[in-house]
Amino acid sequence: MKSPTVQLIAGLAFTLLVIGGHAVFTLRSVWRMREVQTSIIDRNGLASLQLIRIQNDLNSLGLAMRDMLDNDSRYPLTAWGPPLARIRQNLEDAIAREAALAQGNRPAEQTVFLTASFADFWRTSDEALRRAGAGDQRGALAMVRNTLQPRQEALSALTARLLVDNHDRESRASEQVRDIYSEIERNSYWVLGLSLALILITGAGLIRSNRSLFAQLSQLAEQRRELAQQLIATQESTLRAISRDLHDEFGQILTALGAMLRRAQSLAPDTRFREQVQESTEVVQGTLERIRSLSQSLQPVILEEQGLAAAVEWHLAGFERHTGIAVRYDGPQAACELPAAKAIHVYRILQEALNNVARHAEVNEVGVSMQASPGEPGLRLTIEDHGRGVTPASRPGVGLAAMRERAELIGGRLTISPASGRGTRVCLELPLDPTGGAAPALEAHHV
Amino acid sequence: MSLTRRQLLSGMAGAPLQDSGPGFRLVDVTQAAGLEFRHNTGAYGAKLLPETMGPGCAFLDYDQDGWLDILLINGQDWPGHRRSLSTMKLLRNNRNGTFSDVTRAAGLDVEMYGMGVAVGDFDNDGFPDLYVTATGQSRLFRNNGRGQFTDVTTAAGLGGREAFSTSAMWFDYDRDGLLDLFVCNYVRWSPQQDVRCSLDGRNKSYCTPEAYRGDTCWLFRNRGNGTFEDVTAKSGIFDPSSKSLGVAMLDPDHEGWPSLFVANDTQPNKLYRNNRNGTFTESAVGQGVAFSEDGRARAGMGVDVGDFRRSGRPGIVVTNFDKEMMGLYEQAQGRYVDRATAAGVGTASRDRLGFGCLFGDFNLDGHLDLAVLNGHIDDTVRNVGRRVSHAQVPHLFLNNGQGNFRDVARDLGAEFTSPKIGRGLAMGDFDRDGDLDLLVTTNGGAAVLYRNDVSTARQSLRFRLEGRKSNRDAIGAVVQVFDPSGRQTQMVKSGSSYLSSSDRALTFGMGTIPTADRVVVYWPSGRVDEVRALAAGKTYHWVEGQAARALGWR
Repeated sequence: MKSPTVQLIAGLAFTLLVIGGHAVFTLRSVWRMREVQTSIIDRNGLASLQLIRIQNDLNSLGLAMRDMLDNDSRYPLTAWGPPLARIRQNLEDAIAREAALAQGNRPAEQTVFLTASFADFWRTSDEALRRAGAGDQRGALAMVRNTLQPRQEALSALTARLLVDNHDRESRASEQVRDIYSEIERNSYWVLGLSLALILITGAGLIRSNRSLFAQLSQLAEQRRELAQQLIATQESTLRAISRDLHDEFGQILTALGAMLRRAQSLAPDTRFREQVQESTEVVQGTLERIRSLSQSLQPVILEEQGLAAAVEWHLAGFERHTGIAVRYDGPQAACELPAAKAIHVYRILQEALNNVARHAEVNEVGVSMQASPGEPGLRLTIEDHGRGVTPASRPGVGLAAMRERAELIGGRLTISPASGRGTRVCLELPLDPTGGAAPALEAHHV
Repeated sequence: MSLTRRQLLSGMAGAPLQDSGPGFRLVDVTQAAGLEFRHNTGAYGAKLLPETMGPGCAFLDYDQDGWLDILLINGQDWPGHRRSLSTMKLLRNNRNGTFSDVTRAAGLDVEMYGMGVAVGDFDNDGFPDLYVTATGQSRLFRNNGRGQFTDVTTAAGLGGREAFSTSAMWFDYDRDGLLDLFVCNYVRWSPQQDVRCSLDGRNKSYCTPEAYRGDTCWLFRNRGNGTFEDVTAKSGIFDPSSKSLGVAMLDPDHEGWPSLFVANDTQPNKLYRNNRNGTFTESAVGQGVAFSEDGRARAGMGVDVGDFRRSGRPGIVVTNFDKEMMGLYEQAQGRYVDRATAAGVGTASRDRLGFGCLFGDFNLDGHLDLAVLNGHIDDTVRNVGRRVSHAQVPHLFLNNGQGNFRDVARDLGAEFTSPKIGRGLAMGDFDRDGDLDLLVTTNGGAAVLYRNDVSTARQSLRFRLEGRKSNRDAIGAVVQVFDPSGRQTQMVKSGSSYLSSSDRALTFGMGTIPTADRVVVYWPSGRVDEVRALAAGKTYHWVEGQAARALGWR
């Protein structure tokens, strides 16, 4: 059986590698995108705002010059000094800001041309105002019409072109951002696919090894059970054989010995000898009774002859006698006869449970109840004491395991739980076959 | 025992910690006072731009009998569509709550397409003269002191000027003791140049000013000999891109030299700082008052200036179009910030189109409140926007004592809250009971006189200043009143609001404080007069360089 750990670690490592690679790629893309966003799009947007401001001011200049040339104005051209100065101040501020933002984005000659054009415009307008101030209204107006107006129009056109350039640059940057986005998207799909495949492969391997592990486990459990049951069956048949031998062989020998001794006694002349034989007869009688009792306890004949209920009552009486622990017995109302092959296991479970009580519970009373009803739950045997109980520390011994095996062997269910109050409650539930013809599994295992 | 700061302050201001109510009512006394007036827009269906803009109004004491009279500006029928004669109306106060029409006797039954009026004693003879703005030729009427006015437009050198003039203002920008004249011009418009605009795509509607070219405002210097010099160009005021509707004077840095705020419609507002040498420098953009906080030029209509936060630094209110909100500019770190929304007037004014606006202490609690008239320019507006109607409810924002406002118009009586197409707004105490009454004009409708009935025991302290070295109207004089609640500052003004002229007497709310500790007057001449322990509940006549003399009322 191969351990799946190596496979698992490999899968995990590959997945981490894929995710890590993706993270690095995504971060690099985001950095690139931020670069494009801040250095091109944002700066460009701000520059465009300034260009719009410039255009606005140029438009105001255009309107101002149109008004200058309207000859219905009652005010001299010199009156335009402050308004033009205001527009100029705003314009120069916008131009400076725009230049700072557009740095590097524009050919140097374009910048030079722009600066020169504006400088030229203001020089001319100053000159026009100076002429107007000196009284040459017509000359000043001619300058406005012939020089300033065309220049203003040219500057407007140039600003418009710069705006278009900015827009183009922005579009290209946006395209770049779009490309980066689709790269990330593509990459994400790859990562998703790879991760899914890795997870699938690792998962499938895991499931397979898990399944074979479980199969092995249940096989082992089955083997162990069979072994245990064989052990029990062997034990039972051995006990039965010993019991029978004791009863049949030694019983007959002792009975014969007893009869011979009695005959010898009747023939004996001497009183003293007769007394000796009498004593021997009594010893033989006692041994016989003990062998019978031993045989009975190893393999109670009463079980086979009178059934479970009688055997239980017989055993309880013996238990009381031997241990001095009082038994409160609640016997079955109805008949609850089981095939002997099953009944022996019920009997053994009772025996073991009571043994445990006697050995561990430190009580002087135990409650036993056996109830029977046809069908479910069938036979219910309960042994309950209020002794020390099953502590977490107490290790389940071989006895308990054997009880469980026996219960399982006859298709019953054994539960061991704390009794109400304190102590231990052992309960065996066994469905009663209404036909009573359940084939006892035990015979098959006879050795 | 502990007092909260708020309790302490209101205790000092003498205001009982009470009333959810505003503490006063505005009662419509138009009928009882006999104000019979209907504004003639001249409209005959062509929807010509000036029809929707007027008219203005004024509280003035033209006969100097101590009782405020009323002047209502009127339009006229358009040439070729004559139906009836309509003129402005001068209504003389009968001192019993009623008014008599004295237009004809006063020589003001002059037909003109009038827009607004500025009241000021330009010849320092003690009687207020009138500059009536118009679409066409505006006119200067000199008060001869015997109840009659003479048209001196041409003689004063103000003739030969056809324009779409709106608000005007008298002020002494060069501090020579003579009132100079500032005139707002709107756009270059004539019936022949009228452009067709439509709100709903079918019917012609009134255009916004974007359809027309702007026009420069005018500044006329008073030569002192009854004539004026056009210093528009020389002073740096010249700016044909402006579309001006409202003007107010202010002295943000207490220099004694009046500066100008001009509200422009769809163009950046202008702030002309007085250079103290006869010229002005425009600095609205740098000062933060040219645009809204999001950088848009709004449709500025009316404007007023007042120290509503009692900081000694006056704030500026500008009424705008609907969906733009009013602007409420306050000085912060050397420039102005629009705090309209934070101060509670922004959201309230979002669905209104505002015109006349005035700071005044209407409940006499010592804090300047704010009255605003609303009304749309076009009756087809209801076809396009459900939230905005032609006739609109006015605002009356009460100052909570911290410079924040709450609209209490709904609590002032149904008469005040009836929707109207409001335009001109002026204030003054026509019944001499010590509080500020309101005069309202509506476009194409009646004029309404609201008597203020203060329902609390609060009193006011009022001043009627008279300059000697300064201009006789004392326009530009700053009065500071000190009492335990702190300091109040007001300036004697012309201009402000929209097309209208308020009484130039100052009204300080005193709450229940019986006496002002100290009152200081900073005269335009530079002189400073001060008196101590002045009893509230009186109007004082204060001549420059002399002690204040109680006129008393009631």
